[in-house]
Amino acid sequence: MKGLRKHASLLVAGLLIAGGALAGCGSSSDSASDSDSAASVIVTDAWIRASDGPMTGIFGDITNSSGADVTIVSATNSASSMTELHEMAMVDGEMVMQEKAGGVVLPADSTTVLEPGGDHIMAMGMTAPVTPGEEVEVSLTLSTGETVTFMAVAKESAAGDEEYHESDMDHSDMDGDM
Amino acid sequence: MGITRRQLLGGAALGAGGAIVGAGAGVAGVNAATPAPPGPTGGDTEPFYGTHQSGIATPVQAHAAFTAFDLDADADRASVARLMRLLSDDAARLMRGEPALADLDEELAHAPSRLTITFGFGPRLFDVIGRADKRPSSCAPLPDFSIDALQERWSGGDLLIQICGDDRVSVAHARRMLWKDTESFATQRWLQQGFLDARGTHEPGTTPRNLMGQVDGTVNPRTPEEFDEVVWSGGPPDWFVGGTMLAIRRIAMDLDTWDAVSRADRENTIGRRLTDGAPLTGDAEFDAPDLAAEGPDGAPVISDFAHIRRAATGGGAPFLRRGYNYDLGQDASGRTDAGHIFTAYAADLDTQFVPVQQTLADLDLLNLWTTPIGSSVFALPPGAPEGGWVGEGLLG
Repeated sequence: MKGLRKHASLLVAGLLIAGGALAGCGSSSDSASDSDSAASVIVTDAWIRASDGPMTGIFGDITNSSGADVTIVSATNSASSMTELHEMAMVDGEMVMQEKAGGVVLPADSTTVLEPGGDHIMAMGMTAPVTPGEEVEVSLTLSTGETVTFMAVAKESAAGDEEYHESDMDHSDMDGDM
Repeated sequence: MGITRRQLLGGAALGAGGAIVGAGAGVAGVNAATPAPPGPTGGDTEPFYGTHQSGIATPVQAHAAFTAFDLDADADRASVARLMRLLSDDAARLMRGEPALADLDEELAHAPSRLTITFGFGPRLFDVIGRADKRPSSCAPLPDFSIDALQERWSGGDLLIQICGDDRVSVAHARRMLWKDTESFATQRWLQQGFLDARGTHEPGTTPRNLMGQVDGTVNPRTPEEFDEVVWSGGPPDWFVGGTMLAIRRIAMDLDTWDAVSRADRENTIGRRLTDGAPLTGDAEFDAPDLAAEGPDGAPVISDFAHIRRAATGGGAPFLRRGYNYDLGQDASGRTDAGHIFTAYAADLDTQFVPVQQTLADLDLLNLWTTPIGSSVFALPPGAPEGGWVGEGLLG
């Protein structure tokens, strides 16, 4: 069943990114290598936690079939002004959420799962509420210079109600959003 | 002793059905007193995508959860479309045996056991989305019947989610997952949970019994041609082609007074034998009742008050029954709270089901022990094509 899940095509148009379409999005100059790289990293089963708060999490399965490790170095999304790559880490004996230094590494020929309670993409500075069933466009910039773009469908979820590890954040705003 | 052609064919048919593996095993099984027990059936699936929604022509599963929702006050066409896209994606995944997106209990999805998830739209939904002109003509509350004692808590609703499956855990997981995605758009109005025989208890296709002990559902469409004629709408409206109407009626059974009725009187009430469901004028379940037959005393063999005579003589037309039993034990006064979640699936309830129900309400001996306490009507859209979603033709 696990295998099936990985191969399922995403009804809500969550999966995309094909080589040719994205060649123009990458920042590097060689269009041939753009295509190869972009086609070898795909995102499936993407979703964003519905929220009317200042921030929310984005999750999904990212498959890197390129044969070499690739790092997600940054991300943007259509629902917020700022996007960070986050991890859950043990700090002073407590599991907290924090920005992931160096980005999210996608090991060669494997699927990396971004999920509540683990590595995830954080939309911060939301420009509008994200309502259930709505779709948000997300772009990932890879260490290869390429960009992977996909749609994430908004779903309600109570998963991963962890505290945020950053002193200047208002904790009360975080509850239930990531 | 040789193996006859008939036995060989029987063995081959079993093999094709998946009960016995391989032709060799099929032949060996012919002379075996008991076939080898089948392996786990949790991985069995029914299709989500197709011309029609599953859960209607699908052979009955052991468990059902019918749940109705009221749309929130701020609902509109766009929000209902978003909801149906979410629910369709959930249903497609769960019916395949995969977790829904954001499913926190994914292991509970791995044994769907012929899970089907079927959606329906209540009369008011068409007003909410500004499409009253697209409402099928019989998508309206049923007429009041004299026998009714309807309770709000079992009646009405804007959106129906019918969840059926052979495993109760799979059904429970699907119900809660679908509720979680519906909660932002609508509020649960009622939940009716029912059951039939466990899978494997009887030969496949055996007509189930209700809790009064009667074989219930003998007269039903069975072939694709009969479903085309009886169940699937050909429109109008255009979006409804391949859909069907559903009336759900919760029928309370007074089992405590039924206990006092003799077997002979139980059979006369229905007009069928208790042992095998055969009409009192016939030899086997599917024999046509002879309503003209008289006994030695000149009285009709199937009485004037019998359920099957009344159901057959009052106009209307066939429809599909796919009901489930319910049993909530004893109520606060000590009476048995049990009965039947009656369902009628028909292309047009007004011409097929309502005349039959009216005749039965006017006179039917069975009414002495049964009371309708809930009634709801839904339009069940056609199925979604691969990549599509249920209701797209109306909401998209």
